[in-house]
Amino acid sequence: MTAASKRKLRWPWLVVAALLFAAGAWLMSGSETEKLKKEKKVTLPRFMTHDERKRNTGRQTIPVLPLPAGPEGAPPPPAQIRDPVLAAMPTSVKSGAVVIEANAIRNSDLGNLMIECVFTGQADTLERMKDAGFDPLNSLDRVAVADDALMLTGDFSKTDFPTLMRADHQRQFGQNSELYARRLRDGGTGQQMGVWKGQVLVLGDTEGDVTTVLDRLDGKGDQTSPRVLTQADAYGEMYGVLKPGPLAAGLAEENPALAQLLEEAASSIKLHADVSHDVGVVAEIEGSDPAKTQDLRKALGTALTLAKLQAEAKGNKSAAEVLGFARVAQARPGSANFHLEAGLPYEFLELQLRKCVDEKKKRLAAKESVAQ
Amino acid sequence: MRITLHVARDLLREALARNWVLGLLVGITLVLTVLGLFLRLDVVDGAIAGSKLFGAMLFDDIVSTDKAMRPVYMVAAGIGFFGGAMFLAVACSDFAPSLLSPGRIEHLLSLPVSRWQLLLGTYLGVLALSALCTAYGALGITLVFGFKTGFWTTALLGGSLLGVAGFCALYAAMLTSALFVRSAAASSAVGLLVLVMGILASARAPIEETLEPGLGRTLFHYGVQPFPRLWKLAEQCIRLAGDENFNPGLTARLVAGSLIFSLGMLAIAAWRFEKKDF
Repeated sequence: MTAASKRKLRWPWLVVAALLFAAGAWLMSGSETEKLKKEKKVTLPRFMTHDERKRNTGRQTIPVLPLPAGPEGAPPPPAQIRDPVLAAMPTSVKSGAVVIEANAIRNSDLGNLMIECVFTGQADTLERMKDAGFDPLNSLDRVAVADDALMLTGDFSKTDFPTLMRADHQRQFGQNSELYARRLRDGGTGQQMGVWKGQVLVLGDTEGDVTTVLDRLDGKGDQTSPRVLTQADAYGEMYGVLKPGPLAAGLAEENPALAQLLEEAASSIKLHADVSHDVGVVAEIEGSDPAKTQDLRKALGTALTLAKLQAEAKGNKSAAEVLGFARVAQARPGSANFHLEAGLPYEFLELQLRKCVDEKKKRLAAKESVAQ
Repeated sequence: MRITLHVARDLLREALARNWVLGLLVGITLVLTVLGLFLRLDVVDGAIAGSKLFGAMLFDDIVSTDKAMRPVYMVAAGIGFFGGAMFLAVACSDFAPSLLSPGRIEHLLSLPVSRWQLLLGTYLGVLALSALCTAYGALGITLVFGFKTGFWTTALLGGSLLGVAGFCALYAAMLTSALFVRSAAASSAVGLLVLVMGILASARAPIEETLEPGLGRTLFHYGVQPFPRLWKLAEQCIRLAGDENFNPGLTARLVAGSLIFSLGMLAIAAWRFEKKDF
């Protein structure tokens, strides 16, 4: 082979290079725009948003403080306006007080699925409520619970309360309220209901439970002491304060040591949940002894981790995934409070709600086929 | 192939005799020692309840060990990918020019070694060196955190070694450039240029949107196409190390793209090497 022919054979290298570059370009073309799998994230309600502040301002509709007489010649101070639900809250609770923004949850991304899950197979109940002029899906604004009293706010202008409650007893209470009661067959009293200015519906086991709330709405009693929930707490789609007792009782069987520590170290637990897209929960555990709350913090953190590890070991992926969102945040130096955060991602909730709807539909179909 | 591996082994031996390789190994060892001795992790039942480095609090949240370790491994993989690529682009820039230095190349060519074997052997030797350094660092971090937390994973090692696929493209271009201009500085600059082009190629679509339609945009569109999508590859390395949202299909495409680019560069190097008279 001559030197010239050897030289001739070199050009294929360039052809190979060109072909390889072309192949590489073709292979990688579009890879830069390939969408990554969406990361599961949870929105946590750590502070009040601008919209929530605006919402709260719009809800301050009732003057609840009696106007004190101003000094001679001075104009009287402006009346303090409050949100009726917060004004109806007690100054302290035995088990807890929670406000649920029902309308906001109804209009959340998963609202329709939640409604389907709750009301599938409940057509009769829904129909009965609508016949009484109350559409829970569109008329309900908020649901609040404070110990033994349940409060509902919304549009009750067309509601026929006696029909809705199947009440057989009705009387006026004060200037602004009406009380309804249902007598039981054995002569006892069933659930008690009060309606304040056609805006707030109050339900309770005893008449006392209901009238106490109605009195607070009328501005009676101590109005200067802070309520258990204030404007500053009103953010998220669910917010409230819980006493550790009932929570500890629920935990006692599964983890008695943690239950005892919870009861000893925590004085109250403030909750905020964001349900606008997924569910994110922030709980502020308040205590009085920093050393004890630090122990509780560690115990809660390790309990959550252990639960996650156990779920992983058992192959329960969804539980492990949900527990993976839990985080026990650090306590401020010297503080006896700390935060616990947890979340349920949108995808997880959507799957669970769809399962709930499917199962209810199946049960309903089975019931109907048996009836036929 | 045996001869090629011999060339690679000789290069490794030569590298280990150089101060910078020893310096790199000492540096990695120092970082691992600092982490091993001064990082205090308060681990309780699989959860990290707090961590301190040199006595200063790093974080105090209580999270499960695997979750707490994820960002650490992701940062390590990110630093490994870009820091490692830049360091090695500078540190390995001298191998090819010294191989081609007068006297040495004539000696090598007088041996029963063909030119392509010399080229491939040098290339594989440098890649082996980068893989060894990467594996040493990643394995060390995995061992330190494994012993400290009881959480064992090969994710960081996998993610870091995947990053070597990115360096393949860089060094292929560096080796080729040395055959045109026998300069360590030029070789290093070409390596860094490929890294930059790889990052630009990864962001091709958003960059194109900012360019006016016309010749410039068309040139950019076709000009970056052959370059490996290094930013995207780094993203996958980081995700693999953090065990988070890793996409094996996309990664396979990116790795294949990087290897094909490297082979293309080596083909040009072979063409040039065969043509060159020494």
